[in-house]
Amino acid sequence: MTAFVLYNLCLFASALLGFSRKFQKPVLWGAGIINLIIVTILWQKSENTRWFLKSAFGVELVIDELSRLFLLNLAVVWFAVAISLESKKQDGFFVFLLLLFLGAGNLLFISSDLFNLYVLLELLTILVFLLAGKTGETKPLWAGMKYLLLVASAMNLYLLGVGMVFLAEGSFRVSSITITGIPAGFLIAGLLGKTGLFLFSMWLVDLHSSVSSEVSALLSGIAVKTGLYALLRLRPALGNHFEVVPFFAVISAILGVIFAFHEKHYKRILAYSTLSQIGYILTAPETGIFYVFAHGVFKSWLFLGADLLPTHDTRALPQHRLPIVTWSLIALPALSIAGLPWTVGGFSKEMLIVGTAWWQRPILYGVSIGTAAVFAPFFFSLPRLEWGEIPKNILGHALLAFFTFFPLFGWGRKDLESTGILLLGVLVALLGARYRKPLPRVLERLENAALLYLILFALCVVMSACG
Amino acid sequence: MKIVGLDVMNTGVISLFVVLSSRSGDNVPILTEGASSYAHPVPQAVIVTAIVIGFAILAISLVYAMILVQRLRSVDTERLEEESGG
Repeated sequence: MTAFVLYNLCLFASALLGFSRKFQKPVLWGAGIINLIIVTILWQKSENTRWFLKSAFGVELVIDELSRLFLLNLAVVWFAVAISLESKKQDGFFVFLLLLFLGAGNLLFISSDLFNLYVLLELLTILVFLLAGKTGETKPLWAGMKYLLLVASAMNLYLLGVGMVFLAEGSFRVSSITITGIPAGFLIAGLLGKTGLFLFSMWLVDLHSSVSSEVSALLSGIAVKTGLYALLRLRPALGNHFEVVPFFAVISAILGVIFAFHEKHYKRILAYSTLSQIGYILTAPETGIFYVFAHGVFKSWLFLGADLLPTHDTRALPQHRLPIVTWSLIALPALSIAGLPWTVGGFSKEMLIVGTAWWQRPILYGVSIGTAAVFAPFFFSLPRLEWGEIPKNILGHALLAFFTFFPLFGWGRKDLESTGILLLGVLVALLGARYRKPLPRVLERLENAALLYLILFALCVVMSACG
Repeated sequence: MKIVGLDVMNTGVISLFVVLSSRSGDNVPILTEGASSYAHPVPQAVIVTAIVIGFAILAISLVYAMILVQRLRSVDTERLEEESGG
């Protein structure tokens, strides 16, 4: 554990090397490979370690099942993004931020006390904000501004909750406290605002669709998972109060799919789908944790593919000529997110559905079919294919492809069920194609999003105060 | 305006922590003769971090706001939303 913390401090130091143009490439590659190796070793060891500072209310770090999964997700997605960045020219500051992001993410995914979580979540918020604005265009700047304002106020509410918990329990350590009543509402609402549930975090769509593709991959693959990690980490301490979350999660899953189905901008579809998938995960947090990894892998793969497309308008896509390699780089992750058996998507969807309550199961099947319908156009309707040259960032794609298809070498149980869902999804897409119309974006405006968030926050607090 | 609101909120949370730490006593948490109750040091220690974070967020959001205002010549969020194509 001590070694892991020291390693991350070294990572922070090595971030300074990113400023030098000569060191950029070796540092990115080195950090990615070393990080992947270390995380794989942690994954293999599969023993839980706890580590805390000497006093009763101090810092606590823990490596267990949950942390390992998130760490692996971070390592894979970050490495893929880092090596696909290589084909573009980047300035030093960007590389510096990326390396800081890796270190902060690593530390976040092992921390297990309320205040550490707060500090690292805020650090990542700032890093995401800076990464988003790095391109210098106006749209991402404004999206980042919205993100910062909404998330920082959400985190302030979280901090308020932390204060109240400390008042009642005299400790920040998650493993030794139980959170009840109003503070639980504050903590849950604060973290949901950061996580990316529909209604709670309307900043997500604008932000994820306007920044550059690599940053989008990083955001959808990792940044939304940070709040998720904090929520799942707090789950044992929250006890019964956690039941508020699946309720909102189901709503988010449904609304996200509906909005994604009607959208036609490629990256906005992906962003809406992220909102839906986060809800999907939180509906069954116990069995769904593997889906976190699955979603991280295929969603960032889809985002990395965005740059290869000739146009972002998905309706106009069939009229364009596409190289066959590019087409398969979009179609394969789309198949995986739609739940093709023997891919990480299908496999973890089966795992997730087992842990749902009776009223959630039909809804989740519906959401799965909806997701398949949203992504059906990407693998079902063939554009005019041609032999083209292989894209430059193929290595990043290859890495993500490996992790998407690793269930090929073993698992895969209810093949019939996921194939059925996939086919139903295609059917829905074909039938529903003519009913698509653009939905209003009123909810995404800053004032409306903030107001909506405050209402839901009040609802959360009331619900948890009543038990 | 929104940024100022955010900062006010942050200050409120910080004050909560300061009050929270003084519940057990008003004295400085250093052993002193004649003092029986001390302020709780832990909330004070952690809130310093929160203050720094709040300051950092304030600073970078002001920088971005400056760039936005320079480009779009407005601080009205409605107009910003339209002109940035959101």
